[in-house]
Amino acid sequence: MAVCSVNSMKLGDVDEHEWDALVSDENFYNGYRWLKALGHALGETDVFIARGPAGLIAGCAHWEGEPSSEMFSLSHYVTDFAGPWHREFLWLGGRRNTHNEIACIQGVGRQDALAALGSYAADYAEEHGYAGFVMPYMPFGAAEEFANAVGGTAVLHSAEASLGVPEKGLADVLERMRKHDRVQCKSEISTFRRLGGEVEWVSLEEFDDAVAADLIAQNRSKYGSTQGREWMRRMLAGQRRAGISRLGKVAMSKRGQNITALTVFYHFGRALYPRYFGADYSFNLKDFRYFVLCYYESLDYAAANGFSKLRFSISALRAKVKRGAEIEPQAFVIKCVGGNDICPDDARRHNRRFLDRYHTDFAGHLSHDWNLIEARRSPVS
Amino acid sequence: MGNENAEQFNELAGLYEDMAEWPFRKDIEIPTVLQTIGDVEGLSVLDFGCGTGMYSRWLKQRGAAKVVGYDPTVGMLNYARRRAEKEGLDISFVSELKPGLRGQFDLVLAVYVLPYASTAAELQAMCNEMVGLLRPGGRLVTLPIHPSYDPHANYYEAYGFRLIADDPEDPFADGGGVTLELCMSGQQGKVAAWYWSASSLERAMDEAGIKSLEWRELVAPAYPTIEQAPESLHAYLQKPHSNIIVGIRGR
Ligand SMILES: C[S@@+](CC[C@H](N)C(=O)[O-])C[C@H]1O[C@@H](n2cnc3c(N)ncnc32)[C@H](O)[C@@H]1O
Repeated sequence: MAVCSVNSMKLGDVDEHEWDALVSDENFYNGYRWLKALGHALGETDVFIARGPAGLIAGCAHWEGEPSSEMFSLSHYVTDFAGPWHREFLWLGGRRNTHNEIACIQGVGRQDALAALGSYAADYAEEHGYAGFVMPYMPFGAAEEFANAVGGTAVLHSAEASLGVPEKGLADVLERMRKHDRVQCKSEISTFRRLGGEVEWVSLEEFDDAVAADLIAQNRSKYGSTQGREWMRRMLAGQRRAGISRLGKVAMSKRGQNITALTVFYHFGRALYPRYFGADYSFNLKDFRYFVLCYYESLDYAAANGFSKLRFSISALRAKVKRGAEIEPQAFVIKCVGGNDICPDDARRHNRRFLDRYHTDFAGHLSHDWNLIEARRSPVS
Repeated sequence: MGNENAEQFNELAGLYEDMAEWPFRKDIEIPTVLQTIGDVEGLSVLDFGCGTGMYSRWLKQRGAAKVVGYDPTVGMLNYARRRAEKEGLDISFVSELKPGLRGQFDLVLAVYVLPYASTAAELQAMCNEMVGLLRPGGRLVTLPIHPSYDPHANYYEAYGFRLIADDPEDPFADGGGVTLELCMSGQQGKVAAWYWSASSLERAMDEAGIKSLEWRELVAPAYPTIEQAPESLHAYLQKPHSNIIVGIRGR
C-alpha cells in the first residue's frame, strides 16, 4: 500500500470519524474528541497525518513539551545512561498524555504508514530547531514497533495499571486475591458503608462542572499540583465543547445529601477509563471513598455494562496491584536528528534494569508485554 | 474462516462511510434494504460484516431493541464504535461471534459480505454463521453480487466503482475472483471479492437451514418506475451489481 502524502495541520481540519477509525479502545487519549478538548482548554492541537489512496492511514498530535514538569522531561526519565536528555525535543502524542499510541491502520500497510509519519516528524523537528522527537508513555510493544519503523529507540520510563473485568466484577476479583488483600478490601468496603457512604452514578454531561472542578482541585492540591479549580474548570469546559462529556460518567460517594467524593470515568468501546478523583476534604472521614469509587464500585459498574477493561493511569501502582490490577510497561520512543543517537546497548541495558526492578517490586502482577523486554535481553549484558 | 479477506478493509472505513452518500447506495440500495427490512421496533438485530456500522446505527435509531454489529476488521470496528458512542447509540460492536449469540436474533442483516467468501467451503461457513445467529423463524437479509451483474469492467464507473472479473472470458465462473475498484472523486480503494452463482448461493443457504428463500431486485423506491427515476440512475437500475436474498430460518 502506498503512502500518498504526509502533512502537519490543525486537528480541526481533519475529519473526526476518519481519525477515530484509527483509534482503538486502548487509545482513548489520542481519540479525536479528547485531543479536541485539550485544544479547547490549552491551545489548538497540531497533528501530523499520513494519507493513502483511500484516505487517512496514520496520525498523531504534537506539542512543545513541558521541561518544567517531571512527567514530561527526559532528564527525569533517564538517569542511568548518557544521552541528549537536556536538549529540546518535539513531543508526539496528546498534550500531557500519559498513554500514547499512534493512530494508525492495522494490517499490511501499517509499517509503511508508521515509517512515513515518523520520517516526516523527524524532518519537521529538524526544521523547527529541535534535537529530534520523543513520544512518551507508549505501551512497550507499540513503542518498539514505532521505533523499528523510524529507526529510533524505545526506552522504558514508566508503567501503567489496568484491570481485566471478569464477568462477576468485584466478586470475581476478590476471589482471585490473596487472603490478606481480600480481607482488607472487604473491610474497606464495609467501613465505607458503616460511615454512611452510598454511591450514585450520573452522566458527566448533566453534572455541574463547578462542583466537579472544586473536588478534583482539592485532591490535586493535596498531592502538590498547582493546577487549581480554574484550570480544572477549563478542562471540563473544553470537554463539553468537544463533546467528550457525553462519554463521561461520574461516580459520587454521598453521605446523606452531601457529595464527599467523586470519580470521573470515560467510556470508550469496551474500555472504561477512571480519570479524575476529587474529594471534599472538609469531610474528614477515613472511609476509603477513593478505593470504593475507583476500584470496587467501578468493577461492578464495568461488569454490569459490558466493559472488558478498566484502564487506570500511571500513579499509585502499588495500591492498584494490591487490588488486583496488572502493570504494563511504557516506553518513550526517541529519534534524534543529525546523528546524535542513543547507544542501543545502553538502552537495552537500561530496559533490562527497569524490567528487573519491576520484577522485584511487582512480581506476579506484570502483563505479557514485559516478556517482550525479556526477549530483547542483549547477549552481551 | 476467511478473515484474511476482511483484512483488506482495514484502511477503507472512511471511504465506505462516504459511499453511503453515493447515489447508487443513497437512492437505490439503502432505501431498498430498509424497505425490505420494514419495521424493526423492538427487534433484536445483528449486522453481520457491519463495516462502519452505518446500518447498525440506522437500525438502532429506528427502534430496534438490541443491535449487535459484527466485523472482524479492526479498522472498521474502531470507526463503528467511535461513531456510535459519539451519537449516543447503545450498540455493541464485536470482533468475534461468541457462542452466546447463537439463536438470539430476529433479524440478521449482511450487506455485501457474501462476496468475501473465497471458496465454496468459506461460503458455506459464512452462511452457517449468519443463519446460526437467528432464532428459528428469524429473518436473514443479505446482498450478494448480482448473479447477472454487468461484466463490462466500466459499466458501473459512473457510480463510483468498477467490477472487474479476474477472468474476463468467464465473468460468471462460480467462485471466480472479481476486483472491486472504488474510484469516486480521486479516492481509490481496491478490494478482492468472489462471484457466486444463484444456485451456489441457494444451495449454501439451504444447507445452512434457510427455508422460503426469496430474491429481490434493487429499485429506487422514491420513483414508481425506472423511467421516472433521474436518468443518471437508469444504467444502474437496469443492471444493478447486487440484489437481495431474504430467507427465514427453519424451525
Ligand atoms: C463491503 S463492506 C460492507 C460493510 C457494511 N455491511 C456496509 O454495508 O456498509 C464488507 C465488510 O465485510 C467484512 N467481512 C469480510 N469478510 C468477512 C467475514 N468472513 N465475516 C464477516 N465479515 C466479513 C469486512 O470487514 C467489511 O467490513
